[in-house]
Amino acid sequence: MKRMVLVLLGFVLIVGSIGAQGKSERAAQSGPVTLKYAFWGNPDAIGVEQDIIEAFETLHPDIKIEPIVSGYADYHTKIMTMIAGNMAPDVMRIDDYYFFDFIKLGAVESLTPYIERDGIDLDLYPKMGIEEAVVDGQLYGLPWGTAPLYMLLNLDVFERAGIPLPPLDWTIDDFERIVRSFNPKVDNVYGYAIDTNNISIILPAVWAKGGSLLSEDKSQYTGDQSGAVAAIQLIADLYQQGYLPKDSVNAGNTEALRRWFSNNSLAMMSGSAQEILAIQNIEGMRFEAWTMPQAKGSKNTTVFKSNTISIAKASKQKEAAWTFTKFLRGVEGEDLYVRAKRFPPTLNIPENWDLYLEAGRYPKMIKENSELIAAEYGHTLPLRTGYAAIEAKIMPAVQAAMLGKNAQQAMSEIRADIMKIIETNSK
Amino acid sequence: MIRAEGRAAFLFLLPNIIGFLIFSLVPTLSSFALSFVNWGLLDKPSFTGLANYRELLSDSIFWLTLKNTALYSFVKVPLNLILSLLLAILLNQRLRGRNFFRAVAFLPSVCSSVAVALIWSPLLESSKNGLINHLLSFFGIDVIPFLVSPLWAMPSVIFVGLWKELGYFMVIFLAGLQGISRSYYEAASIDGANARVAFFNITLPLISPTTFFALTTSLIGSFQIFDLTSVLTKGGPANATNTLVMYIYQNGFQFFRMGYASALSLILFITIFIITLVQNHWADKWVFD
Amino acid sequence: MGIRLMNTIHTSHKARRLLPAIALSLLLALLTAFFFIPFWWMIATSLKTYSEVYTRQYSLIPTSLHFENYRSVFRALPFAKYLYNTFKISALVIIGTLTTSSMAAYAFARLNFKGRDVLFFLYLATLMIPRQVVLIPNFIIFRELGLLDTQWSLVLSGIFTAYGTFLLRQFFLSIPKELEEAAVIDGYGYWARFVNIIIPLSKAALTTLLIITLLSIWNEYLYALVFLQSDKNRTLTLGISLLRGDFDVKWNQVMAATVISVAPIVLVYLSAQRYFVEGIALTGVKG
Repeated sequence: MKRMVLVLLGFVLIVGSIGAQGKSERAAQSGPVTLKYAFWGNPDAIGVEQDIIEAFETLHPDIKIEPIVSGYADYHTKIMTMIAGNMAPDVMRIDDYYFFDFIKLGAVESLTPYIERDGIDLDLYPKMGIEEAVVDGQLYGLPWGTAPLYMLLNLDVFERAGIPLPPLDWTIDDFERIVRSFNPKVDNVYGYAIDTNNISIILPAVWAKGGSLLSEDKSQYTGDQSGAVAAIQLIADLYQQGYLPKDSVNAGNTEALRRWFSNNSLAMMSGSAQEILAIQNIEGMRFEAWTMPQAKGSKNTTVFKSNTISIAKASKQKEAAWTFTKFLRGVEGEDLYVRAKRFPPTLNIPENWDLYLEAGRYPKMIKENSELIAAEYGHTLPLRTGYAAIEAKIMPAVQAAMLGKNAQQAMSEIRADIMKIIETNSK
Repeated sequence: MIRAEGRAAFLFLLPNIIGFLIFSLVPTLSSFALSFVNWGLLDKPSFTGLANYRELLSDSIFWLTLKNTALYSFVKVPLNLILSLLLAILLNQRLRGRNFFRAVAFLPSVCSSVAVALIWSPLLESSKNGLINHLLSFFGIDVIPFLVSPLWAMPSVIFVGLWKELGYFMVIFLAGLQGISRSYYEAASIDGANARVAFFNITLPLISPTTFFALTTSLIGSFQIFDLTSVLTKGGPANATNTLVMYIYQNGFQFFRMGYASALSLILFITIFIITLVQNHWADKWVFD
Repeated sequence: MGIRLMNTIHTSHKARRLLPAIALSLLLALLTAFFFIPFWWMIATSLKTYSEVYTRQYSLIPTSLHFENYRSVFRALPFAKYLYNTFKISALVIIGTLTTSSMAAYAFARLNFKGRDVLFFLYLATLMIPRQVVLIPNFIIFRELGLLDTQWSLVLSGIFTAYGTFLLRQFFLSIPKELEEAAVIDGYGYWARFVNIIIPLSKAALTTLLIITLLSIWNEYLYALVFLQSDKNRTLTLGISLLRGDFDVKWNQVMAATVISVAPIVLVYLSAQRYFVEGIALTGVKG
């Protein structure tokens, strides 16, 4: 038996070394540079990226772009596996939920030297997007798809209920009043619904009650203090009293939200730019993209979120990668994205809105509202390393509160765990 | 004689074992090794000894997910095996359209867990719009909060899991039933044995190796449940359906803690291993080799 | 009902008489509805328009049959290629699994050698580790072998799971040893007994393993996602995941794609069913 194992191990070693040899031969290459560019998307989104790649390759015939694409679910698993296995993509799009972790773990290259050398004007980019990619004065990527998380208002439902649309600077009390003026037990039409998928859903309410989940410098947990607790208790009370659909406590409920909204049984829901794209295509939908309710005297309650295009530290072709990144997130790339309506304009180029908008199409006020939100109403997420782990503690506590637990208790109980996460992630 | 057997065994095993060593055993051993490091996947692993294990002992989410996973398994597996065996016996009869019914029962297994969860999510909606609640309302039953009540969430997941796998294990039991020669039953019938005696004295013993396989793989599979809960409830509400593999996956690929995830996997492995050992020992009493 | 049902095990031709026809029909009808209605909903959704998916979400009957959803799947992505790739990979995995696992299973079931039970438990042990956790080590191994972004990576990782060996070993154990003993007396060696006695008697088990293997490799997602890269290598699961994309999901199209990906397996299952041969002939062997 032992001899058998030895023979087999020998076999394995031989096979392994043969394989490895083949690989290293392939590594030595001359001629055009090939960049691996990773991104997520569906077939329509992939079409735009293809156009951008072609436009770039025409301009730079000595650089070839090899796309690495998958659906959003498990996209980060894929690129993290590639990085762990020493095959990092040269240019990659990363969701800002994870970006600070990518920076801290040393996976991405600082772009500040390149930006200074080439004189890139950072004023072109949304400030809140840049914020989410800066650590210790170094910028680690360029923003992509920066957009608000709007409150979508279903015009038909509002009209039928005889409720006027709120003003853009509506308060959280206005919000509560609107939700309570619906009578779901009678006609099955709800004022508001959520899913408990991520913190972005409850943060506007938390901010509107004058609270926060993490301190300004994100080093302290503040979710068990009065503002946050009041907000969560509000949502919990509305849920317990039947003003929110029962499935609102389900984190997997996202699809149902769009269902109810499209069926005109839901007046308000939170929606991203992608969400808008989807709902636009449903016949007969009349809706607007609005600000989130605010606190009296404090307007910044609408989540403004970004993704980032970055260059892998392990990339062997950083110069070429930078050339592509500049194009992708520069005026040319943005132009192609906006024309294809991949996302609303993100760069400070007002004319781009004309490319994006279609006359008479809902939401009609998206241009004004988006610009207002960017200027006055926006608020970035409390992103930091360990964000996903912190979120995984907070959301079950919110769910528990919705199911009847006292909100103060629910939010206080997780303090120790969250502080531990912050502590381990600050080393 | 024994050396000849040993040589023959070597040759029979060779094709499979080479691949097994490289693609199954070595990765498994590597993941054990990873449990002694801290690794964020994007950086280099750093040795931490037993720190991960010390941490998980006081990790309340670990214990919770272990409990949830055990609950799921110990309820679903017996139900699954019993019902699948009954189904197999039923569809082993000479019925008209038997092949059609077998195919229909097997149909749910054909989809991936993700597809199954996507199909059942809207059906289990906690309002009269959900198909199941809609049907229940005809019987005057109030809306049941299937996926949103800590009481109902796990039973709902078990239900969907059963729906998916009843046909799968039915097929396995059918194969086992096929292996029983009719002559056994004929002999028993001549001896005057009735159906119940025949079932317990012929059928059950003779399919016992198959049953052992079904029990073992069903347990191993249930302890690794992840896709289903991930889509139906994302582990909620309030971690009521959070499972061990889901927690492992989150740690490895969302919390940037591959070392900790590997330690959790090793504990999962030990748990399944012990249960399988116990089951194996108990099986010696009833499995016919 | 229990005893009457058990009666029908061995006197199957009396099934009609024993279990009241109505009860049996009712049971079968309920079971069919139970298993099939979600599929019906899936097929109905695949024939709806994009708007209908949301406005008539609960209806099992679309207003009209929009078969163009199916055509749109092939236009959005090269689904025909994905089908071909998945088919090719599955076929290779099935052949590899059936041959190598049956041989290994024979060794475990019939041959005595030192360390047999320990080795078998090692086999079982590899089933007890979640696949998500061995993903990274596997990735590194395939990278070392230069097999990343080739279909062989999926084929090799699919063939060498312990599952098939386990299943067949159990089944071989349940084949009466007397059948082989007669052949030993006639001078048959191990290989001859394996090929001429064990394999023919294992049609049902081999068919089952074929179906199980087909299922697992056809629906393989995480490993396909991580090992493959070029569009030319993509499998069905990846194609469907791409169709889903992120938020703007065309559910009618995704359901159509799911139906397309499920259909071949159903067909294979239907045609494989006739290998569920009834009973073994014990001719020539003393009872």
